[in-house]
Amino acid sequence: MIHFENYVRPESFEEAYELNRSFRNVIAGGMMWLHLSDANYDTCIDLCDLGLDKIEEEEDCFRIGAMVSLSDVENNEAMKECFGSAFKDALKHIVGVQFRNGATIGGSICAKLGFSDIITMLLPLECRLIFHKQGEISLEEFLSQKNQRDILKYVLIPKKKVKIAFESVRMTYTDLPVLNVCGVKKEDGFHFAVGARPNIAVLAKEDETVSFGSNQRGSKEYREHLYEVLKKRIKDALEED
Amino acid sequence: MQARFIINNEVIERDIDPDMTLQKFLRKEGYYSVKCGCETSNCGACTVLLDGKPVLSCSTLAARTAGHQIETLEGLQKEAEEIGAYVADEGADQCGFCNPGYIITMIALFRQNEDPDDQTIREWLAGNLCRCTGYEGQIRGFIKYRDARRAG
Repeated sequence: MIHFENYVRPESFEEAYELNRSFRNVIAGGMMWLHLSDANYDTCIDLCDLGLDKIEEEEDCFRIGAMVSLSDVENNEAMKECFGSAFKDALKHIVGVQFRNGATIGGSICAKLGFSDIITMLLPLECRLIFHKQGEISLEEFLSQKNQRDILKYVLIPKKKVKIAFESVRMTYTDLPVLNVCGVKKEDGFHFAVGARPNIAVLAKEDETVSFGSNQRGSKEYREHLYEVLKKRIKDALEED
Repeated sequence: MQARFIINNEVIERDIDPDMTLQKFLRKEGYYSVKCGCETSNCGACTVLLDGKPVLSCSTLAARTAGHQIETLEGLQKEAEEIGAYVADEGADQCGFCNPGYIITMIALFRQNEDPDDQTIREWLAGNLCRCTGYEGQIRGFIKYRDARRAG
């Protein structure tokens, strides 16, 4: 289990940023995966007093604070109206209601986990991230960066009316995905995000090649096969609509 | 570190380790309905209500919950007995270890949604594991509890 000597709730982003410059300190999101680590830290930085726990609907986007829980993302009525059931479809398999009440969107993104369902869901929506120092960057750019030890403040999801669908394959209902795919239909065709490859999710157009690997959940060849199956299901769902 | 907790409407102040989980803290305080199951955010046996929402206490920092409303089954006896009776009627109790987690999750669901459909009940129970049964007994029990509420 994770161990740390001090627990701090910064009162400003600058204070949080300065504390996080040290490799001896760590930011706590929902702590769902982090607490399983056996690392020792000096200080746990909790962002819970920085007002990052709200979803705000703006004219052109949804502005989601980094400490918003996955349950709140899943159940937000305005987001359901804009994106249909896609967020629920993407999040309902993540362990259980209790887990999703604790897990945060910021923690889920910053951990850059290969099996992340939320990253796969957000990638084709062209979402942007606002960091304390770096300012606004795309999610795709963030995923390709080395750890900047910056503070993620908000996730911006453009309010474009897009047709979107999410599909995944799991051994059981709440297991980690063998493969997850999210697709959108745009004017120039279908765009997909592919996660649990088992590496971090990537974007690909319909005819672009995606590289896969093997782990205990599935072989490279099985994932290649599944990708074609999930792409077809998503295309059928989007064309049906 | 010193922190003030509100557990089942009782306010207490305690000196805690900064990295202590809520589960460890509650059991230390004698709230034994909060089980140590997997301790890896998977089984739901340690579920408590935090500001009315079910959360996994094994993955929640005690320090973060200071000043928030924490509820355990010890503080929800009347509701727990009522729901638990339906589970027992369906023979869903075997070792009983998972029961507190199941029941507190259902209390949260019925507070939020007075008349959940079968699918919603199943979805809410997806985060509670039971090593003895095939889940059907618990689900039947909760559906019958819902039906009894509907009938008034």
